Amino acid sequence: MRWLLVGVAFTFVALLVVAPLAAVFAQAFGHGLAAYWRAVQSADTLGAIELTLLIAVIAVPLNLAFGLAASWLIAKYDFPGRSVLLSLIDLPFSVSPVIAGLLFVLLFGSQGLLGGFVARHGLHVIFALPGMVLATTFVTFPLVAREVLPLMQSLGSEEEEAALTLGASGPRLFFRVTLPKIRWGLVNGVILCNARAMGEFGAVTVVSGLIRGKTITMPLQIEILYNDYDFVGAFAVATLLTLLALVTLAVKRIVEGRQPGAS
Amino acid sequence: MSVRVEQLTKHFDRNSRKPAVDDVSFTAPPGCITALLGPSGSGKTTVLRLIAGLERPDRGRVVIGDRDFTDVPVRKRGVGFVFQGYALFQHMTVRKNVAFGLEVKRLARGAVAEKVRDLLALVQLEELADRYPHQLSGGQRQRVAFARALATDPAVLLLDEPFGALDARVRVELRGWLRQLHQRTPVTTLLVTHDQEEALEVSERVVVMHEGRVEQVGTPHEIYDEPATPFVASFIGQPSLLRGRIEAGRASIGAHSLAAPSGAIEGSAVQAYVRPADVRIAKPPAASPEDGPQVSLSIVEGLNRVGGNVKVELRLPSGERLGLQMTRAEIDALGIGIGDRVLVDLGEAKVFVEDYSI
Repeated sequence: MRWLLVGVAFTFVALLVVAPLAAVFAQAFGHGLAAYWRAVQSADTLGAIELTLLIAVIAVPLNLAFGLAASWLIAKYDFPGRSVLLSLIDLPFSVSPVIAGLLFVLLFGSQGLLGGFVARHGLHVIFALPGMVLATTFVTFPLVAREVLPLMQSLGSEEEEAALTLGASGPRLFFRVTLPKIRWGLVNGVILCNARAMGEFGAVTVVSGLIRGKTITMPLQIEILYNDYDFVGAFAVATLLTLLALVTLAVKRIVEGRQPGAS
Repeated sequence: MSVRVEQLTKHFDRNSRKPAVDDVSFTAPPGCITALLGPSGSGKTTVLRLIAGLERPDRGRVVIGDRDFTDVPVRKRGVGFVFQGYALFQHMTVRKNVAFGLEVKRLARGAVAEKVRDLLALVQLEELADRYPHQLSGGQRQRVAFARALATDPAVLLLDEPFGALDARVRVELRGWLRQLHQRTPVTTLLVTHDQEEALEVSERVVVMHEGRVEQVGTPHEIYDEPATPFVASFIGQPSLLRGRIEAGRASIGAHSLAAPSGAIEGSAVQAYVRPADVRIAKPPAASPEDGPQVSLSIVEGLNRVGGNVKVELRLPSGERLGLQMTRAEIDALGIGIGDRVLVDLGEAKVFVEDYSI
């Protein structure tokens, strides 16, 4: 029975995870290293990498700040609307990313609720960087809070109360007592948030408008190259994203191993 | 400095009419250990947290020395708090834990190091200064918590069940240690405990709490010898409860006649709390055949030896059960066994008129 289950599990993983992963690398390097290198170095691809990094650099710190603030608020205080906030944090998980993208188009598009306001101030949100950052932030914002909040709740507030009785001010309390307690959960949340931010496709497609060389991120570039029958190019960019995912997983493993209490 | 609380009231659940702390007033005299004693849920920890400022009262005042601290935030109150679960900073060494409060005060580094050394010597943990809390035993963690709380020279030391999480032997050891520590650093101390032995042994003053209210304030002797309410009488000393009636100006409990509480009305029902250590038994004088059945005698129903003591269970003529405790030598000298009939002296029973309003 045990061997049967082990067999089923491994077959499943091999078929659904390992084989596609191998295929990505096989396709990318199918025409040799030189072709791979040329594909990665094309101007459009480099632009996509740059834009992806830029979006992540803006969206991840935003979510870090929001996630910490929301977790702190929900874990330490009881206030009206607490349970509403808690449910709203999970909302992006239950909304399809495409819908999320559409929400921003409806809000900021030229016919949208805030579209007129945005246009009058000469800002471009939709089909531009701000919209893509907004969509990415929306899709990834539960990730930090969802890692940190349960940790804060399980650790309780006794150490914070002890620090208060010893005269600690708010910032000292946070940096000396709370942050060291939750740091690995926080790192974990940031890693996940970053991975998702760089890999986001659905919401970003809708708000990007797919303007070549301007609003194309790595996942969008893969799609474009693939539709152009440039398989080496598509899979070459895909390997970069895949590598990112593997690095993320490795870092996550290391971080989890360092958490006190983990075996 | 003395600690005075006046009419403290705190509701946790706005919908329930019963407050967690209900109109609590008492004074903890300066330089003394005052125990807040009561069963779990009696509100004693909440009172302590109100004094520390970790909770805000709905009503009432907290006065330390002669200053009103009711609206002073926790970090400016200058109280030392030892938490039930110690609440040590897990990611800091023992040394860093103790130094935390001193670093907050921005003392010079040399002064901090010196003070920490003195405190660790005081709690006998010098060798463990570089360990982390998870590398210490429960008793050692407890002492770190004390040193950390004492570091800032608090005006008041608040202890929330400080020995609650320790095993029985360590508890008893640490009680003696706490007394010694208190003699060396006589800070006004409030000790929350549900353990009456702890309260009576360690403190100079006891506040007995029940369902959010103060039942009695007094010295340990007063609490033990002159319980003011039926609750205190029932809570202290694991007594048995016997019922009776006021007859001819005396409390009549079965065949026993005890002094009536003052102002008791003839015929009213009374309850007597009898402590196991106060009851004495004796063999009846040899019965002659014409005496008839000795209905006023009690029957020994159980003899349970616990170390050098014996717990005796009696059935009184009224059918009520009575527990008592004697030394093994006393039982051996009496020569009684299960089923024997004995005479009972209830000794210092505490008698209260039953209050039907409850």
